[in-house]
Amino acid sequence: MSIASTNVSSFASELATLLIETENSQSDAAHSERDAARSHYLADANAQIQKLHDAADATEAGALTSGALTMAGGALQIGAASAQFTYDTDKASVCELSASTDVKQRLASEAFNAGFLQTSGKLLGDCAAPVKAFLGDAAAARDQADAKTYETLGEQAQWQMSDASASIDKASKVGDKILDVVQSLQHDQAASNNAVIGRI
Amino acid sequence: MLSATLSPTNHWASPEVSAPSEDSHLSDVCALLALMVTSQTANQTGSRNDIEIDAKHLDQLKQQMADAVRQAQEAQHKSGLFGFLSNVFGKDIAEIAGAVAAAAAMVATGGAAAPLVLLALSSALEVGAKVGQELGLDPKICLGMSLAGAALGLCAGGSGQAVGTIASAARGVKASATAVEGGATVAGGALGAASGHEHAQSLHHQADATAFQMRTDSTNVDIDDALQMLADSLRSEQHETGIVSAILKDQADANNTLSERV
Repeated sequence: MSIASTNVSSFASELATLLIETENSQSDAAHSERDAARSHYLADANAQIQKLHDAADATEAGALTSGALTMAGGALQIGAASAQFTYDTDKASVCELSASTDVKQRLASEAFNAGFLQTSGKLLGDCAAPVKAFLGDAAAARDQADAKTYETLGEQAQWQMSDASASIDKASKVGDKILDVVQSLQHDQAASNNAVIGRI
Repeated sequence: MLSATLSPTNHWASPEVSAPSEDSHLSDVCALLALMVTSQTANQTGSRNDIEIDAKHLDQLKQQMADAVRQAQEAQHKSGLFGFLSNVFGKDIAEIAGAVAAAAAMVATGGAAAPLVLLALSSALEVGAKVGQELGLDPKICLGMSLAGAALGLCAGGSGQAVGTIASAARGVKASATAVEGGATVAGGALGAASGHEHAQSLHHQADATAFQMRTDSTNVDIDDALQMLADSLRSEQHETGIVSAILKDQADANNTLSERV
């Protein structure tokens, strides 16, 4: 519906049309501002939620990596226990002074395997906590901070929405005043006409 | 509300309304106001529909948010349980097994000193039994100490075979304890990963709850807007109707005056 296209003849109608168009423009601007603020709010909120999901993913990645390293360390520890038992048993059953070179080499190899497995298992187990902190906790904290930033931006957009809503209310009240003016003008015109008729 | 009625970009706006007919006897202003009243009526219908739709949407969002919060609590509960079990296996059991393995290793590697230790213990128990008897200690205790000393002395006497057996058993205990420690570490790691997974799921559900909260807020804004628009529209309609009535009354008065003059 277009007010401007309405045919008007009286002064009151022309004034009403003009004022309504002005109010309409103000209201449109306020609505545009509110729509823009709302779009920003939704975008910021979606970004905040995405960052919260990213933080959760980082936490999970850190926990799974840490768990995998711990499990691998434990498995190597079991292997080391087995290798150590074999070495201890073989060593106890052999007199080192009279043992042949092959036996000595076998014992040395078993000792190396046991030590290697033990050291590797301990290394992996010790790496679990730092890896979790680096991959999981630090990344999650970074994502949480980003989410907080977006939350703050979203709150700002909400304030802008609130301001725009206030402007819309203000424009609405202006519209009521315009109607009052139109009524007053029309009433005055009618009174004037009556007075003119009375004078004839 | 004028802006709501006239704004071409307003998403609350109702479909186009037909203009008053050409043969209307109303003045231009009355025609304009009548058009606005008609538009307000259509606008009110649209606002009511929007409110009903948003209210249903709000109920769904509240239900979804409650589900997300409940799932987050359940996941957090599981995470806590797995974390507790992870600590029990990965720390407590593993540390105990490690301590047992260390003690067994000491016994297994200290085989050469074992006979001397046994002899020292045997002598100490014999002396302790004699001194206790002289000091009036319970004869049964003194007898027990004496017997234990004698038994240790026998073990020490046959040191070669006994020490070999003890060392062999200690090696087995050490290997078993170390294996148990490794197994407990594996279980602790697996349970820790499960705990982390459940914690992450809880965080995901919390994020979902935040998303539902955001949509709820947005829907509440929509409902507030629709209610405000409906209220404004009703008020404007009443206002415009009053103006039209006043204008018609003025016209009637003018006609009456003119008739009287004629």
